Amino acid sequence: MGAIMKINQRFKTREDLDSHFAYFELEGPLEMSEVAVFITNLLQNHQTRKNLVSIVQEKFPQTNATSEVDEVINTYTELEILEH
Amino acid sequence: MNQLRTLKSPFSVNYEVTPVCDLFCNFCFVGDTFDFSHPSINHVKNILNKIAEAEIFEVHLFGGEFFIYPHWQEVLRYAHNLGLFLSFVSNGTCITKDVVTVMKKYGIREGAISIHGPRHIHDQITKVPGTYDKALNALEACLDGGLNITVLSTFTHDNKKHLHALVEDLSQRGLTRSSLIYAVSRLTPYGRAGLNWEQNRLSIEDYLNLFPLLENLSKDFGVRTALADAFPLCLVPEKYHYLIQGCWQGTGFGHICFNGDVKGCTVASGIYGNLLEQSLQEIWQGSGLEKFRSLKWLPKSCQNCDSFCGGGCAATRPTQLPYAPDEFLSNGGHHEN
Repeated sequence: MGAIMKINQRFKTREDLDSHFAYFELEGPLEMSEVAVFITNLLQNHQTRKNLVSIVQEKFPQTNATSEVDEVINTYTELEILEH
Repeated sequence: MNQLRTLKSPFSVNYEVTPVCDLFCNFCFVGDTFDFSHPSINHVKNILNKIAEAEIFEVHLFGGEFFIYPHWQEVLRYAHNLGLFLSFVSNGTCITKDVVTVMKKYGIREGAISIHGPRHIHDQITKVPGTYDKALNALEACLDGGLNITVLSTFTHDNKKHLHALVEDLSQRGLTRSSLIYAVSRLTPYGRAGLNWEQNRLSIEDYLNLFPLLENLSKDFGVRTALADAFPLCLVPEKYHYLIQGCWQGTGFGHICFNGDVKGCTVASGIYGNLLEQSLQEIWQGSGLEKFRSLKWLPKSCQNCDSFCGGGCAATRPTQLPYAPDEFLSNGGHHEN
């Protein structure tokens, strides 16, 4: 069982004209891919990295789920919006 | 060639819930109309529905003065239930601890309070004695309640030599906390300030003196400071660029008037449509704002600038048009120094 994490502030997501955005209540907007938005929405609740990879792999079988999940986790860790 | 990005709708808007205000600031962009009345709560809810349908994330509750709207609590409840992130811009005359408690109940985490100078300057500008003390009480209630607050001063000839005294007073009252930002807004040629613009306008030297002042306020009082608007970066020494917050009007930010009119900027006069007549997304992607985002109205030097900063503030030059190049940029493409 890996570390459990979730996003530490309210956020909303939307599909825009040619992209996706997550808007964090305290940080503002962040542009991202459809897969990253999916991962972001999962992080509304506590998740493990392993669980995220598994869900993303199933939903987006054509993508490198591990890479996508790690990129999102790294971004949010740098922004300090993940709580463990 | 630079251009601004088109989004399907703004990320955030200022929503002028009511045009009614209890102060009479001598530079207010609204002008000299004092016979406004409050819109009905159903009208306000209708506009909030349109804002939510457009998938706008954040609404800054604005006026007039939002907290003198008789149904302000119902507005907070309704907007919160629509899932909108809320903040406010206020003159602070009505904000008490109880008001802060209600704000927090509906998810408000931050807001802005306008204070335009130390007591004698602020009360002179607002034309209502006692409003400085009310604003400071409001600020204290908000900070004590855990809200992040920006204190906003509009930069004028009346207060340009008194901003240090204001922040010093905030400091002496224990209000220069980590949850406070002190920011200065640019004066614009709309409403009362525009009536005698050549006399009222500030010079480039005034602004170039403001940046070191903001930096010194930060050093002297340990408070974060900023210019709350855009400014052409090429006119400002690079070491002060971090102080300039910039502007994303017409792209990520818009303004909704009390009657549903949609503007790119709170201050400027351009109206691109009314969200009670067509969807906000149609308005936002329409030809009026597309023209703005093309940036063809900017000097060529800005259109082709490799370090494009947005060209400064499009609401600082007197014009009959919805926008114009920054007052300190020449139309010919050469910066005025």
